[in-house]
Amino acid sequence: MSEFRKELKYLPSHEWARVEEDGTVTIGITDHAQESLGDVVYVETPEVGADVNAGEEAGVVESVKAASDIFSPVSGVVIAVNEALGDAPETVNESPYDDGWFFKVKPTDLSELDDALDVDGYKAALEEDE
Amino acid sequence: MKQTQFSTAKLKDGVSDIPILNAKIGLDLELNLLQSVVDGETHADFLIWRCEQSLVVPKSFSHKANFKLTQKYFNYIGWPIVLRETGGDLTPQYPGMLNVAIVFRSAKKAVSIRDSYLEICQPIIHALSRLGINASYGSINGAFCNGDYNVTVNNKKIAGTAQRWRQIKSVDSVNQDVAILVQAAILTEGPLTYLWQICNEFYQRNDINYFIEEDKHIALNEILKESGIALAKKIEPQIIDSMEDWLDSYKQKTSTTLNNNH
Repeated sequence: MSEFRKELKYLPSHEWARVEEDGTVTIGITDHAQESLGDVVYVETPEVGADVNAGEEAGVVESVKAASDIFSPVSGVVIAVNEALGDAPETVNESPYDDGWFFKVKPTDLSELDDALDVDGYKAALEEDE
Repeated sequence: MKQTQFSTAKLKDGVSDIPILNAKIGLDLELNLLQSVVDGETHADFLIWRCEQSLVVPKSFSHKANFKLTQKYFNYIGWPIVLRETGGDLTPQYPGMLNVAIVFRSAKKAVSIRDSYLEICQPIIHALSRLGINASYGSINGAFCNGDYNVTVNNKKIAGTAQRWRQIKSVDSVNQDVAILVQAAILTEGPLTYLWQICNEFYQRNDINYFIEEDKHIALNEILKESGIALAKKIEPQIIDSMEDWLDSYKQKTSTTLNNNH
């Protein structure tokens, strides 16, 4: 049974976004995504200082089963990446919503997240998939 | 990129014009084909090629501590290491390996990683059945690039598979399509022993705790008791026919299910 977090926004492509108190946005992949991918072996994140655009490719996650794009839910500048994933990519499987985050963005327009799904919308999308 | 010239390899004098390519060139052709699906130029296609001697690994391997040193060493002994964008594990490439790659567009909610692997396993199994070979799919511990979707014959691995998913940008936040590349590498002809020795040396030099066992594999020449041109004449038309059948059926199957959002 996949875990969900009420405070997050979701993309149907299985990324999550969390708006932090300072207005920055932290991004990762959902518990459902890590379960589908299996053991994550590598995460390619954008570089700090890079621009990312909402709904566009911002990295790649590679598992023992497949490699897949990561989309950014918001546009902005990357202000941090989770360097710890370099040595321990399995953290994405173990803690997808906490220690397994991918990158943080200083957004140019937070309202872009209005188009993302809330937890109920994401759950409904998953149920529809099944 | 438009339809690649290799996507429907033609037969000439009973032997196909499947090219032997440098690994980087072959892998780039596969990615170009995937991009043509992302760009909406095609919904599905396939590519068949053979590869010059090399070791092909997923990008994750490039972050191993000894990787650069290992790369120099294998380049020196004539086994250049080339990165690929699909997941999985080390795959030794040589002209005796037949590479089949399929690309297709699917509604994300209509496809899983398992489904995608079956899209390539089934036509290969079908082609082998036309050759009188009873094949299946499953995991073979000790085989190269092991996973749940190896093509197997008599509990030995005859083909490995890997895949890459690209998201197709959409204005519809719920109904989303994906472009998928699935690769299969089919062992057609040995010598295999040397391949596994090279692979195991790669693992050892990168401190990776995996050992490929020779007796977990089988090549088509061992089953069909043919080699060289005679073997190619036998297997290539079957693989090509089977992939063309896959392409036709995929186009029919998906003509009504894709999201019109690009």
